[in-house]
Amino acid sequence: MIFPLLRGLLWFHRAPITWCLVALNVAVFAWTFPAYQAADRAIEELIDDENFLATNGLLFSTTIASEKEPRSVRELTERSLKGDYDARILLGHLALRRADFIEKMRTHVERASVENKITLGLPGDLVAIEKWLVGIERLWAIQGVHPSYRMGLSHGNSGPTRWITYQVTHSGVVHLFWNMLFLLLFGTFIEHTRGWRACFYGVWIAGIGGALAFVLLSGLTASPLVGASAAVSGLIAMAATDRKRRLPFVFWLLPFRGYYGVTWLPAWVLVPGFVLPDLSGWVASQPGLSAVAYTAQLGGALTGFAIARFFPVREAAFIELAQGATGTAASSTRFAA
Amino acid sequence: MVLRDPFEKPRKALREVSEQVGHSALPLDRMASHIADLILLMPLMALAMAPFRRAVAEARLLDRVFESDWALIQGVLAAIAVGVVWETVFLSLWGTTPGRAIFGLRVVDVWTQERPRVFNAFLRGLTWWGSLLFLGAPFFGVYGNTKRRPLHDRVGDTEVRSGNTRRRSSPPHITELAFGSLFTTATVFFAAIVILSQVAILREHAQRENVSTEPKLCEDVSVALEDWETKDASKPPRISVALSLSAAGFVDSGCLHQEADYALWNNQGRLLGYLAKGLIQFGEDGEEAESYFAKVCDLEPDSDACRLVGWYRSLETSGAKSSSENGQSEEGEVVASDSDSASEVSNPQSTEKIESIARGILGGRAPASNQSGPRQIRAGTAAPDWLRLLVLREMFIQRADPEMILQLTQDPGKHLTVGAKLVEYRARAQWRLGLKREAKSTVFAAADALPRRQRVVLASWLCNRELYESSCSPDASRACDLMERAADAENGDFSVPSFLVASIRHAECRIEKRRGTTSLLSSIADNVEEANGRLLIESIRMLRSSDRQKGLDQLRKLASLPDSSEDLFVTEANIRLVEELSHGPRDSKVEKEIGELRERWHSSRGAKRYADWGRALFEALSRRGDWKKAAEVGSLIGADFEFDRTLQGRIAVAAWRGGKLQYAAEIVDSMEKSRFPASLDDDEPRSADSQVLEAIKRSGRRR
Repeated sequence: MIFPLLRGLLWFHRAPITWCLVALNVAVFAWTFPAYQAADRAIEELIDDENFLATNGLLFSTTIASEKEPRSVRELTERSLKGDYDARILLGHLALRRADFIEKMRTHVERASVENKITLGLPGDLVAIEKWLVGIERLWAIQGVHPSYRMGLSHGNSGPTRWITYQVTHSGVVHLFWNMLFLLLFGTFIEHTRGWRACFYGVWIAGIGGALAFVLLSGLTASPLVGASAAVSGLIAMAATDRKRRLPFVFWLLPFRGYYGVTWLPAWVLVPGFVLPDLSGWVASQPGLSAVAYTAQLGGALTGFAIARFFPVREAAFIELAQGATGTAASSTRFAA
Repeated sequence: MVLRDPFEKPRKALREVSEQVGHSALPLDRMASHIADLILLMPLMALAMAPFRRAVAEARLLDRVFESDWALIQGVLAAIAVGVVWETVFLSLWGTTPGRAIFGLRVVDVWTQERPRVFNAFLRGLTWWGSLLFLGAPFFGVYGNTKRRPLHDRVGDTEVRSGNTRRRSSPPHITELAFGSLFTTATVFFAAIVILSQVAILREHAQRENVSTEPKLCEDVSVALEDWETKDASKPPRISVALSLSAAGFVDSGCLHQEADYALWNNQGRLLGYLAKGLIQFGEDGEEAESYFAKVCDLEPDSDACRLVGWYRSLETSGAKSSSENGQSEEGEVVASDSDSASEVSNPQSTEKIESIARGILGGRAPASNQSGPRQIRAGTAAPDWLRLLVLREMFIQRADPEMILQLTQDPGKHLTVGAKLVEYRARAQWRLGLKREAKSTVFAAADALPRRQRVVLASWLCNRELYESSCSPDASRACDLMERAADAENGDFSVPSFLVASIRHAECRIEKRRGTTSLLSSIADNVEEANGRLLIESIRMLRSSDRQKGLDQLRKLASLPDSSEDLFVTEANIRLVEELSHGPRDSKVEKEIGELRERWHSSRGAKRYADWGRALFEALSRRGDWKKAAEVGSLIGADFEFDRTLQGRIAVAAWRGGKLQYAAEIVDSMEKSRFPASLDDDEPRSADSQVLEAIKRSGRRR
């Protein structure tokens, strides 16, 4: 276990912008929490209906799936059409994230409402489709009031304000907790070493950069992109930019004296520690199936690297940090870049 | 504490460390240095594993366990490769790694006390990471070796030295050596068990992967489709085959559901797909069934399927039950005919409707149900098997004209399974018509050609009928022998209730004829899994021993079980009780009990083999001279034995003697007008009954 030493930095007066950002995120979450909970419960009830999901999967198989799909999706499609119920359920879940599928189904539903014939033009079991239509319309209605869909960045909902609002929206308490923890760890560090502007602008710009990377590398899906992960990755990258500078890190290797404490490591160790896992997560994830937006985090980190030069470090801040870390007159030469 | 920065002027720092000779490193220092190295290595290892983790996720998504295992192994090997490269590069260049450098440790060649050569560093790294596969057992060598050199140090000709003078390690004490060796041995043993079990699991997964990798539709349909008889090379749609097999009771509704979905979503017979789905839902969810039926008639309003839908719709509106609700027994046989089930199912309007559909199939050639005349076997029909089987199933439930059933069953069907069901229907229709000889001939002629399961079902039906209607006759014995020869314990035939009930009665016949002992009953009992079945056999064994009274008590207990109309063992217990009491003394207690059994029979209309139960009750009441009540029971079971002239005659006699003269005359009148007088040849009425019948006829003419 290893993380940067923050002795004294977590006080509000040492990092007011970071604390304001944390407060903003928490406030937005608290404000949207009741609506979020109600909408999530309604969606869960709908998703629990296996017949709805199975029909959704079969509709995906017959209307969208093609040779261009990854091997797993192609095979699941084949299986679902040959009666594999589990494959239908899996594809049903996948289809709900696929923007092309949702768009096509919306077109059908809109046309059907005009022509008063709800199963128009769709292949398959029309009785099951009629039931599915009731479900999908209900799902869309729920999504219309769901905070993640109202503030997140998704296909068809990618207006300029969404690129900002998605960063302060979180999909749950755990999601919020981890993002805020890392925002505090690195936000205070950046605010102390590079100034409040670096922290304030860095967060928003990295968030936008992360969203851009997500759009370019993964593509917007019907499932919204939410969370401050990209912004936090940007802050981590800014901290790692000064790659040769030694930073104090708290370490804990074994529960015996001499095996925990503080060590000095170059800033670049943050890259394998925090950025490489995102890269490996991206490589390891199935396209369209991952619940974590690795590409957004990588994009945020790249943006952080890029903008760091515009916010130079304060040498005095490192000396203060070293004194706080050791409690002794630590050599300032350690911090020479 | 504040530790040194291993990255500060790395070459110099590492060189400094490597130049210090020092002394043996503390085991805890070694462990902590490895943890520090792992913290730095883990992101790199995760990156190396990433493509394999993706393969694992993909394989799991497709439920390919072995593929997932193999990708996982590859991923672990990739991670180990990263670790080996890390060790090799750092040790051969600087004699230490970043983690070791934090604690001032260095790895030196035992001979030269300098940094190890590339090959030695590689061997050492390989052994170190290999040791992890054995749950790190070799690492305990640091305690179990006098020079604190575990396996990887000995393989690489190296030792780990520390430049930190305050953290000096002394040679291990004898106790430490003993515990080190003990832990090494124990961990190796445990690791061997883990590795062997993992290999076994891996092999099992590989075998499972070989067995089932490709998604399959209903296996029974695929097999039947291969042998399906067609005029040309083209095969019929799968849904048509599935519907036929389902109507024949050969596949369950799950299979039909799968095939219906396949037909609908792959556009391979949408009409039958909707019909199949409607039939599955019929009786369970009327609204959904109607939705599917509506689609059938939307697609092809003039089709046979739509006409059949009209029949099911009429059942739904009239509230009558159909085969999908109660017509199928556990063996897949139709049970609503020939005294097998309740007599409340049919009504004349429904009967007429299903006969009209059958006439449509036969091209209007079949005679109307109320026509009389000699039995005629006409040309068969070109109707698809699924339609014939579905209509036949409904015709049996509605007690439709048996002659029409004979015509519908004339063609053998396109597959052996379908043929087997048609043979069964044919034999049952013949039995209903009183053509018992022909029915037996049909069963015995076809038995050898039928699939085993169907042979058991058909023989079991014949054995039961023979035993109920003619007791331990030689014909019953032949039918039951056929049933027992066809049955196979491994396939679960012996645990089917109707088979067991027939087997028990057959065993009793053998015992009566001194061809066996009560051990026959014991051997049957071994195959019974249900508690009620065991109770029935036990009570019958007691009846046949000195514990007759105890056996009767057990029968009473089983017969009076509440809410057990679907349990054949309970019905059989009631029939047995009636049979036993009818042979008992004529006292008020027995009279009262028979009266109670009659009441129970009246209130158990949904019971299996309700008519056989009633017949036993009729026999008991007749034997005791309670003609009025016998006539009442006879009037209720008469329709089930419409063509059994002997029984009809006895009911007429009972009615006459019970003072119901008009009812007696009506029965005799209908017997006179019957289309099938030939059945009288088989079983002439008793002389006393003949006189009564003559009297009834005379009185009828007078009126």
